Amino acid sequence: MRHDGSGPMASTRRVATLTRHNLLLRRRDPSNLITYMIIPVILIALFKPVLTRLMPDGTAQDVTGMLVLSSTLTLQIVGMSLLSERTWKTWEMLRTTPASAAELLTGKAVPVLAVLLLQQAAVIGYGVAAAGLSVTGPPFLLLLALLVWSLTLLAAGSLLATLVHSHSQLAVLTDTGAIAISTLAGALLPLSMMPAIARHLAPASPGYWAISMLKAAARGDTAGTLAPAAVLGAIAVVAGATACLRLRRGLAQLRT
Amino acid sequence: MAPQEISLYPAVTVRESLRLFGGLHGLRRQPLAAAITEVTDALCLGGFVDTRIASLSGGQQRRAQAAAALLHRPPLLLLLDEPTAGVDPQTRRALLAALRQRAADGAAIVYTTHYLPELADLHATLAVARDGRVIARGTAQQLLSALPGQVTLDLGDEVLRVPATDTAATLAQLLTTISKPLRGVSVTEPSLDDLYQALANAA
Repeated sequence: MRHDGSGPMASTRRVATLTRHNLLLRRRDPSNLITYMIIPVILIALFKPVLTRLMPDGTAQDVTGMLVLSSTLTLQIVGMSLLSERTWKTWEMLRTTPASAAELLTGKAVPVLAVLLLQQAAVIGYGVAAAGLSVTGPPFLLLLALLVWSLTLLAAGSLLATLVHSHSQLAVLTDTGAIAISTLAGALLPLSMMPAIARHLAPASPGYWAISMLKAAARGDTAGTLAPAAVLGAIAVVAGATACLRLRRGLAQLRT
Repeated sequence: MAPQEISLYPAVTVRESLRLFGGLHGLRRQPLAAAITEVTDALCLGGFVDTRIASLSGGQQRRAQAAAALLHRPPLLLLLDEPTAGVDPQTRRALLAALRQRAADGAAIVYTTHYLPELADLHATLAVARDGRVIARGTAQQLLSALPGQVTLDLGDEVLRVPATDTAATLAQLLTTISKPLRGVSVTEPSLDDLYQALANAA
């Protein structure tokens, strides 16, 4: 059966085709995702004895901190999913099909978002089951927090992919960026133990708001979840809009 | 459209690539499966349809790329940028046959190449471009008619080379006029390579 290329049904089918294809690409190269699932498991186990001695909510700090650290590393997965289209020269081939730029981006974003949510849900699940994280709030609040953080990472990773020229540039930016964002957010060391300048700079890190949001969601604090979620949402909108503007020019022609 | 460079996902198979591009062009289920079978058979890819792109040879990757462009039977216009660059004779033959079929079906095909002899096989209207501008246009026969061929006569102590627009008539005339014993005759018709060289030199 061949369908007319216009209309919402045809558009939905194209997005479904792209989503299936991008899920296939993710399945063919699961190594990064596996790595980013193993890293937090190891770090949570190692840091828990220290953090529980230092802080009253040490377990929550441990799990959410390592979640933020490992999930910021997944910026590389997000960036790679777009950057690979440039290096494989497949983006311009896709642009010759009836699929619009918005459909192409949606088809790429949905599987990556699913990967981000899967990674973070796995870390939370491990935190609850093995590290003793207490989730007293409603599950939807935690799900909302994970979704907001995933969308923020998706937007930031997409923007990064439009700014770099090579996989090595992307790796340098995402690895150093992830460590900087996480450390400044207090993911490795409680903020109270960090130098004064770091404590003052911490709110500049999206990770700071993510840890705050995730901890609040775990204890069922709706207001404490929504306030940092709004900050992260604003970051996501700005990064996502900038990425889309750059992508409108075409991936192959992008220059910093 | 088939770009000059290979533009396929290396980690997926030929079938998976074709499912993607067919699906984006609105083909689904049985018609998609039938189109994949048809185009992979036409381009001699049947044995590699479940092989990943990265594992294919350069020529097979070219065929897979052409298959992605031809799969949905583009009804109006097909753009191919040097699709036979660096490919084996089997790939070239298969691709040109598939293109002739698409042209017979009514598609307009814009085809760029540096392998000029294959243009004669396509029986197409040619446009020779230099520095982005078309400097000659016409069928191969029309364009070549303006170029002289050459009649060569080996007379033993000398070799006579005579440029000739009508080589047969010139040869007949020469044979009636020479008095020395003839040791060999050859007639060279102008080729598309000669045409390109002449146009390049004239520009």
